[in-house]
Amino acid sequence: MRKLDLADLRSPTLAIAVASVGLAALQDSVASGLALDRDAFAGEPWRLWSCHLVHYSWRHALFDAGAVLILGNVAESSFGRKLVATVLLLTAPLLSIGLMWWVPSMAEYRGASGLAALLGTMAVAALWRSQPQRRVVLMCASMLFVAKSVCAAMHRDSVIPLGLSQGVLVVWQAHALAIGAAALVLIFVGPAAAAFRLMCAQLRLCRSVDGTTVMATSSKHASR
Amino acid sequence: MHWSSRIIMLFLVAVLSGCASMLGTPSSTKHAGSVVDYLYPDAKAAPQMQPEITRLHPPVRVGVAFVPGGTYGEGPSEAEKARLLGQVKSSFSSYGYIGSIELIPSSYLRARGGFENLDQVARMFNVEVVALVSYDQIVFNDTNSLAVLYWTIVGAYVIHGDKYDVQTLVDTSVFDVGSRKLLFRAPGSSQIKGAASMAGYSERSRVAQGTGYQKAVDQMIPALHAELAGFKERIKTDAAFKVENKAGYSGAGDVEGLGLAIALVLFGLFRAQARSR
Repeated sequence: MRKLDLADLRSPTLAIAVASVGLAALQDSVASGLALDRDAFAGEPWRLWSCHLVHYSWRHALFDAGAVLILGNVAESSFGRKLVATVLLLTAPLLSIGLMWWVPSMAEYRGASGLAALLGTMAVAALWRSQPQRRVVLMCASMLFVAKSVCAAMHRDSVIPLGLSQGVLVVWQAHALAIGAAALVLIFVGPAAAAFRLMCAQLRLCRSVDGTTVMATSSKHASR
Repeated sequence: MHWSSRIIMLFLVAVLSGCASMLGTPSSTKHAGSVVDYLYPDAKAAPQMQPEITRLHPPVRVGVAFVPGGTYGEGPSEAEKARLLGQVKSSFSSYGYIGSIELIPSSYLRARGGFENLDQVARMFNVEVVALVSYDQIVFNDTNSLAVLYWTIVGAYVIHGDKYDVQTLVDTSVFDVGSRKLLFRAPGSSQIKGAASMAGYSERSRVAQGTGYQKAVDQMIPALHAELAGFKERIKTDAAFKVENKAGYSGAGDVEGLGLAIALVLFGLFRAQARSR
């Protein structure tokens, strides 16, 4: 039997899933204080991150946490925990800001599905590269999700509550923004990171990417 | 003629003429709460509707009310109305695009109040759409040949010489208060016939009237379900309707079952790759 490795518990996506389920157990007033609303731009900036961890119901939290955990496992194994954690940390507030700009009539937002869509896009990209023989399956799965979102947007099903609390509507725009953000990460951040690693290797500094070391050694190189 | 015979003759004439007056001409009673009379009380010409797009903001807040009748106490009782409106309410509650549903007591609606009254009530109950249940019930009363036995006095309590025929029509008309547009309507009708003794006629007739409303509403509910389902599809294609998000609504990022299933497929592919290595 495989021993439990403490390193497994340092997963950022596991932390998000546990936090989502844990916060679902708390009172709604706590979730209200963490949800995304206009107060995020009026002295409560934590809401830009925390809104992705709070939900409207147990069902909502469990579905989102499950998707984050499953897709996060694939993304972390393919891209590394540090990159995934960095992407999640930077993308979460951008998603929130994007939502407030795109859907101005929305007063409050909660849910981790934006992050799940982000991780899902990264997972599909990783599997696309590593499993060329299964690209048909990946294509079908991706098209199914895109078709679902397009149907929701075109046929206005998005404005119909689906087992959520009264008056809570599904925001498909969160998924669209997350997929766009993931595409940008894959297009720009991936090659940029590779180029940075290559530069470090050329400078024989690839063992450490710590900022101080890089700067210090670079200045040494410059002085030569 | 002996004076005692005269008294008996006078008594019989008085009593029999009274009984004969029971066999009067057929009569009918009408109870109605008309949606046209309520919304267009003084209309002399057809209302001019401006062609405009009706904007709906799901989940739509709906109010359900009985149209007020012409006179107070006419039509079904308040308790009966509340029970029937409860059935209409449960029809609405099974649709996702319907939000809160308020039962509006008849006392809040003014007879012949028009759209002005409807606007006031809609504001008071904070609803955007109002389902008005109108009714039209006619009770016909006839006597049959057995009624002649009412002359025996006992017959008035035993013989079913009075016939009733209760014809009921109920109709739910759903209006968008803002645009004053009729969104859809669903009718239901019933007919109940029966007979009663003269003494028990009033009670039997009253029970039949209540049963008539119930049966008409029972027939209306499936029609209402069909209209609600049809309306949900119609607003997607009909250019006269525009569905918009409600300002200030709460949004949720929800992967739903399909998203989770896709995640599991991706995870399965990943695990299969890991095992093959």
